[in-house]
Amino acid sequence: MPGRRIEIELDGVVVTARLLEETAPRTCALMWAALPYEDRVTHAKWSGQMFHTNTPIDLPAGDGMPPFDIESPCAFQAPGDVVYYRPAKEFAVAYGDAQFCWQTGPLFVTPVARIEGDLAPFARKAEELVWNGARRFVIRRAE
Amino acid sequence: MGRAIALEIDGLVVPGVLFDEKAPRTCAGVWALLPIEDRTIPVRWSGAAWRTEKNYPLAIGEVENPVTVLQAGDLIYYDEPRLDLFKIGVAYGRAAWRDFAGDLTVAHVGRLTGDLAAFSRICERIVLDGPRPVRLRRAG
Repeated sequence: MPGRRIEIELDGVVVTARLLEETAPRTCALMWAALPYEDRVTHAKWSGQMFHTNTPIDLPAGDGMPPFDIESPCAFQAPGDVVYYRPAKEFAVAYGDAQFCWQTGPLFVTPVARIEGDLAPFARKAEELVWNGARRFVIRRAE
Repeated sequence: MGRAIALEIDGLVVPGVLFDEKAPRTCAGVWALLPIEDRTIPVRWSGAAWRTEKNYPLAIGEVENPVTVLQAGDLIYYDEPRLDLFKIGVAYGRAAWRDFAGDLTVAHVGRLTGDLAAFSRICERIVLDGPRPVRLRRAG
């Protein structure tokens, strides 16, 4: 059912995001079925204003297309983008200038959701990860 | 051989050396600052590295011994006056000094020469536990 929404909570700050089912239907369906998901997230070291999960969650939704086998692969992010990186089985959230990278350079990810509304309070909380270390993170279905 | 330094973090003392011959003015500036007591702020774009929280303006006017790609133990100095950044950085693994606009060229001012495995294990906890107090001092 297109138009599904999720809640994303970072250390007590909650935002709503719309699943990108039109561009990543298989990944979003698997993600929806796996919710709620809870973890402690850490700030990215290579990717700019972005943080990522650390407990693997397997969403095997590749499209079989070599060389990536990643649904709707994308190498650029905008603030508020929620992405899934299948090789590491992790989610990442961009809260400002960001590009999902590792030491090899930019990597392809699947955009799975877009945060709606005012991103500023959430971005301020995400910035605190640099200064405070890992914090609680939850993705749940929105009512 | 350059002048000897030591970095202290979480009870570990890691010896090191400044590259006085390759970056004479920057190393002289860093040496004059020592001892430094600061915190390890994790980088956002550059990999397994951290930088100081405090600013240390040296006004060198050039990037001596320029480098972008780093390995564990490398010490760098970089300044970006437009952003009010005058930092000392330390790599604890693979790193490449970058920001939102891409690769940066920074001054390679020294290298830690002690137990880098133990040093890296401590530094890898920074993103989980938050910045750690650190002291950089003269040695020898």
